[in-house]
Amino acid sequence: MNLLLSLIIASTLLSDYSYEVPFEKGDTQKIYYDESYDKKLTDNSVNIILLFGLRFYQIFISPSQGEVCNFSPSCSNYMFQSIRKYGPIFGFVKGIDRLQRCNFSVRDYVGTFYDSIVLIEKRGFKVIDKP
Amino acid sequence: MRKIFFITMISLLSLMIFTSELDFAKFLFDDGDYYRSLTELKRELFFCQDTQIKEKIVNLIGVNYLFMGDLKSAEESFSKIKDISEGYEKNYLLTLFFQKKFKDLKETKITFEKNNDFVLLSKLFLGEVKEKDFINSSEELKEISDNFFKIKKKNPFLAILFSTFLPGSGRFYSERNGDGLFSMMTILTPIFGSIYYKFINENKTFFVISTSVAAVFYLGELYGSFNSAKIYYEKKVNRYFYEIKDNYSNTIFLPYYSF
Repeated sequence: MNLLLSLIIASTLLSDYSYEVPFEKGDTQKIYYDESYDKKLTDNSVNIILLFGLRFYQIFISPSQGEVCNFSPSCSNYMFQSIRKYGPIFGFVKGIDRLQRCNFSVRDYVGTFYDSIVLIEKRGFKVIDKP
Repeated sequence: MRKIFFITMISLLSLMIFTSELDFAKFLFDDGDYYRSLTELKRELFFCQDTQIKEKIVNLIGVNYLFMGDLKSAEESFSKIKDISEGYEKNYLLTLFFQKKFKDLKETKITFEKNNDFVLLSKLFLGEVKEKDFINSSEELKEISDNFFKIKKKNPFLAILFSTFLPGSGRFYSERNGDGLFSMMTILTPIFGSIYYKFINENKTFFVISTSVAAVFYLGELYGSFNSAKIYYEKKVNRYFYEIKDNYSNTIFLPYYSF
């Protein structure tokens, strides 16, 4: 149990906080996490708990579901980024809003409320929506 | 006989040499091969001595860039010749409009009166004109303005008020019916769950879990309805901009060019 916990903590804290977002049709560009948020992260313990939970979900629960999210970045990544960007309360609420928007009608709003849809390798068609 | 043959051959060759290169550029342009047409035009520009033809070629280069979607280069080309004729000025204003540089367009000094329509259009998208300003305009401009004024702003606080009493209704108000229906489900399901675990199958743990899930989604719903109403107008106007760009591409937004 201790080994598992230490593995989770290590994977959470040692990850490079990078995420892939589509750059052009069928292409991906690696954008690294903005270092200016790091200060916020170390200052706020609530952030660490929330981000830890999200990382746990991403590593152990999400893979069992497969590619189900309609958006890019995915809902968990969106919440992760928005928590780091806007803080624990507003970021979390934004993430919940995103979960509610991730439904059967997403593609109807491409062109009006969402700007574009892209084909990402091994992930399929995704609607672009950044925090 | 030999002399006549040589003379005819030389005259034919000279005809081939001195035929305008613009014909081939036109052929490529009509074929949709804008990139090669551009190369031909630039070659012609390099050898050209006549200033009037040079202006014409610069305009054609700009038009090629415009059709290729390189609006910055098109603007650069048109800006060199914009003061010379009405058509060239129109092309310059058109590229500014396509780049959504409404403020720049509004402040540009218009030399030819007919091109004032673009200033009016930019003011329309900046929200600085009213319906009565389009009374003396052309039929197409009137149509554009009529449809533009049909897009109404949504009040974000009204959306919150709707969502407070009936979750999802704030999103319905912002014409996002799918989102509204889904968020209604995400809130009402745990609420029914909490009622069930409180009164029918008494289980305190499940009651607390379902109530907290409902509360979290309720917060998200309030924010989502506010945000969707807030961005509604901006997104609709943005959509309308691309619609008119497509619908009037053969009339108002047709660039001026001649080979």
